[in-house]
Amino acid sequence: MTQLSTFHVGSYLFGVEVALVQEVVRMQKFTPVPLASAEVSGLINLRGEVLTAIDVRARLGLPPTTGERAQVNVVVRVDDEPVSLLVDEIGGVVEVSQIPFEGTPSTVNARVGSLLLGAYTLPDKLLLALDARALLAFDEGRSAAA
Amino acid sequence: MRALVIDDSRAMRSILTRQLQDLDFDVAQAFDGRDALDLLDTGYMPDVALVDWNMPRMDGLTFIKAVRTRDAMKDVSLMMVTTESEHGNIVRALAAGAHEYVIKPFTSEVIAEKLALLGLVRV
Amino acid sequence: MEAIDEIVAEFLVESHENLDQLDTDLLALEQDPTSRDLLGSVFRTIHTIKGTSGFLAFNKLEKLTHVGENLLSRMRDGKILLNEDRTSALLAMVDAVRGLLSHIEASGLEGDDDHTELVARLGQLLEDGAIEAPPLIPAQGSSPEAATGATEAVTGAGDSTEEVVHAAAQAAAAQAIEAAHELAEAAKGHPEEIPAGAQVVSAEVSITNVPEPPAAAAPPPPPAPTPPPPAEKPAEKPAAKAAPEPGEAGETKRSVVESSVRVDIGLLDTLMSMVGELVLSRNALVSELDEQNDSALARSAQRLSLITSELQEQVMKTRMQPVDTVWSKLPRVVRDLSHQLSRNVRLEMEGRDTELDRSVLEAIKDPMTHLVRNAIDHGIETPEVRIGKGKNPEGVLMLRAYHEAGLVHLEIIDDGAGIDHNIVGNKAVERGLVTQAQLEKMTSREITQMIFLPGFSTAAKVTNVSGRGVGMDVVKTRIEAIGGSVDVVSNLGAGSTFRLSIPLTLAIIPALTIGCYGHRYAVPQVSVLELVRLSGEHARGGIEHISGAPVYRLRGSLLPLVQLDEQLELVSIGTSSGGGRNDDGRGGFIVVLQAEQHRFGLVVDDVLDTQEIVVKPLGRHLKALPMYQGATIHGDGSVVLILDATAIARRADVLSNQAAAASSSVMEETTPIDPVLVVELSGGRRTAIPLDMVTRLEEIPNETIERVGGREVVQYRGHIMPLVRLANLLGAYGEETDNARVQLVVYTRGERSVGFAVERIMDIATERAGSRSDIDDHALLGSIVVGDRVVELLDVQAAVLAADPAFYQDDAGATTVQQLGDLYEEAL
Repeated sequence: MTQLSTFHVGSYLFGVEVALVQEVVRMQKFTPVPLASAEVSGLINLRGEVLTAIDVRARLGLPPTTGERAQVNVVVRVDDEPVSLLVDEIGGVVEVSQIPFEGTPSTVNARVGSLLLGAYTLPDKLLLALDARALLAFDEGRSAAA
Repeated sequence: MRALVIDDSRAMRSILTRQLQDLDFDVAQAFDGRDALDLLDTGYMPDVALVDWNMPRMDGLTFIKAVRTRDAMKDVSLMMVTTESEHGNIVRALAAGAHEYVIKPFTSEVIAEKLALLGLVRV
Repeated sequence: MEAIDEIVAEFLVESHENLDQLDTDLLALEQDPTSRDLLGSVFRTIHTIKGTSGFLAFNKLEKLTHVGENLLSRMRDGKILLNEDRTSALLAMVDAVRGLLSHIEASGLEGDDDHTELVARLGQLLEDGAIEAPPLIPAQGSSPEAATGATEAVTGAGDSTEEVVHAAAQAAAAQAIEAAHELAEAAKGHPEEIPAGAQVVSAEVSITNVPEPPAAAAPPPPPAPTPPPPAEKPAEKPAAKAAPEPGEAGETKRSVVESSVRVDIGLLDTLMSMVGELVLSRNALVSELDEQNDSALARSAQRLSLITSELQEQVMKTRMQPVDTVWSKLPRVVRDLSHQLSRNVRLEMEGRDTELDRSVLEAIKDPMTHLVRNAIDHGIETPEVRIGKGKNPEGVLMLRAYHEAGLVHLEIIDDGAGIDHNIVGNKAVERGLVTQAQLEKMTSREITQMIFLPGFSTAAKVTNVSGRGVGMDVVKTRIEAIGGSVDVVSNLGAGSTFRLSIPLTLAIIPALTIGCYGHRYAVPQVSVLELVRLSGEHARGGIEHISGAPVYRLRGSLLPLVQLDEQLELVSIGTSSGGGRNDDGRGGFIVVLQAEQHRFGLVVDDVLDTQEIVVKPLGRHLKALPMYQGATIHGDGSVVLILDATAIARRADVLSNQAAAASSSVMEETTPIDPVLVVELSGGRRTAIPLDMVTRLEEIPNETIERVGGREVVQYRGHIMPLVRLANLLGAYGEETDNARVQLVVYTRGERSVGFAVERIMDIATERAGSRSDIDDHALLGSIVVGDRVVELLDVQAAVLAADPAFYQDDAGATTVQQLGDLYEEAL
């Protein structure tokens, strides 16, 4: 019974294992972190905890949002640390056990592809399964700025 | 009948309160002499106050002396609660104006008897 | 019986609290045996437990505490003094009481432990010397007859209240007389005992009406000569203090009981998560409202916002406790262990009120205890050994706690034998933890660190003292489990320092909030030395540039400046222009910060407020950014980054790299590194002047320099200031450039100034540590390395004297025109 929590980024539909998703939060003010790498959009306050918000578009190498679209935070918990993923919009929870699974399609760019576990072919579109751990694996232990 | 239990030990206050409630008293509590004085100054007049000897800030003896100087409180009976080893204290308490004393630990019968001596309980 | 169980529960909880306080009080009392406050407090605790246990039919408890109470009563009345034996016995009683309480907690009954020996021992200690007083007799004079007589009188009086009272009065009178006489005797023999005795007199004197005994009880016994006050054994360090001062009241912590409330921990956690939900809703509400334009609604939302944040903060603070919560148990441990091992140890504590999150405190409890035990067992030597080494027989064990650089540091420092890394190394090889070859390549520090490896123990046998399933490796594991680190530095023969460094998961520090280009940042108050306001036109004037680097003259010394917006590469929020600050006449503030041994000024736009903030750690993606120590949640719910002063200074290169490297190892000896002003003399020769000897930099037209009596002077700020051309002084002969303007480095002391004329002012730099070497040359202190060049260091004093020999003389005032005039005339 595999379920994926889905969300939209650009024209893509991504999904991560439901178990990893702690919650979804909208409308969060965030504090920019100067000198942090481009993937970090800032810090948010979630019930008193300070979470890093990752700009998924930047992480995936996609162009930044155009216009004033409010973004949604998908809070995931990987390796016991909650991190917020900034996405365009959330989709629903999709039950994928009955859905055909394939390897990474060639239609996605290399950067995106490297972060995928594979893809599910839904009736109307492709659901790309993200490797959450890989998604978050950047910049750790390195000084972002000299 | 109203009573005031003054002792810095919560457990002790609970024990004494229980005993007094069993004798149909309404019971108020105070942490030490200072606390008790503050309460009395608000106009709360118990019929009897059970006063422990050793308390922080203001001890039993000082409290008794203080009450005895206040005309408004002349109808409050003061019962010292003390232990066997404090003979000297008993004397001092009585000299300072305590009406009665009771040595702990005491049973309900003993306290009832003492209170009867003060005319507060019908035996 | 439900009701009784509830009361028993209350009794248990209350007694446990009181017993903890009792331990502390007893140990404090050992140091101050006649403290009325402490004696009173200790007495009251035992008294309370005794009284209540009687009601609850805990006979063993009652009996045990009764004897203890008697002992304390005598001490409180000044009849006997607290000494080591008595302290030990009382502590044993406390432990026994704890044991009984545990039994009661588990089964409702007192259990089978036998305390007759302890009771007997306590009874024996009621008297000094060999006289064995029967344990149950309350405070009496030293003559057994009076004791027996009074007791009989009391007990024999039967149920008659009156008789009991009179007998009691009798006994009291007897006591009073006895006490008075004892006092007199004591006073004759040992004048310093008087203060303690004097209290007894005043207490006894308060008996007003002593009713006449109706029956003839034994008349007051004739005053018996008192045995001399307890002979003090030389080994007893606390009792050995002469002339205890009566006025010194020991601070009892009892009043804390009244102002605090007991709350179930689960409830606190629930409260916290509810507040969290509230904050989230608040955030959402505020965002929604931002989009609408209802100002009244907005105001209400704002208010709600503030209240929610405050609530959040306060609830989180409930989790914080001072480290003393853990430390307060340690004096007892130290005392017991010292006695057991015949060591003489003085425990000192610094930073007891440093606050830590509850869960962190829980985690460090065992490690701290183990390290303390270890310090006494393996660290501090016996007094004989110490004397043999020329050390003070009393060893010192110091506990320190402080916040620094985003961490809480707990240090356990002993002045004992230190750790011999050779022994450690050999042991490690022996245990197969490392090969001989590997060992050879390790530094002594690395070798010493091996004591934290599992499977390691330098003790020939695991002493049961340091045992208990906690070893050094467990200490390390436990600390690392909460994200901290353990370190040890040791000096063979001199002692060791163990340091636990734990991240501030929920630490509260006072901080300054500053604004820069519309963004807010927090700066820990501990780094802030002062604030300087730059306003309007003065702003520009105050800031100077030396080789392009901005500095500010602050009361006579030059402060290197760092622009925060540049360092963080900030862009203004809301202004159309992207980068580039407009610094013409712009106001702002300089926050003078301390970074390691240096000061520098951080230029910001606004200083907003100072308040206590809760430090939150940054996630793993941002942890590596050195200029942030963490983040906090501001009153309005927004996240504010906390800046790390040292990292910013380093990034701005205000500290030279060498200096930073030299001081990075905190526990090593740091040598002070002075910033210097580097100037160029003619001929390309460079000289360094210690920056704190530089008051001002001036540029003056050549024409203003006048020659008087073989000297050059210039009129400067109402005085005549003598000049010295450093090139001439130091014998630098090169092409004298014909500048219309002359660069001066001015040194002012009080009313007097001297100007050093140089060719060019180059830079402010930092001398590389340890680079100074001597040059035997006039007016030079030596040569130092600055950057990658060797530069001479000016002997400022010599240079000053060359300009004005009278400079350092007491008569104030610079060389007057009159004096120079005289010189001039002489020269003619």
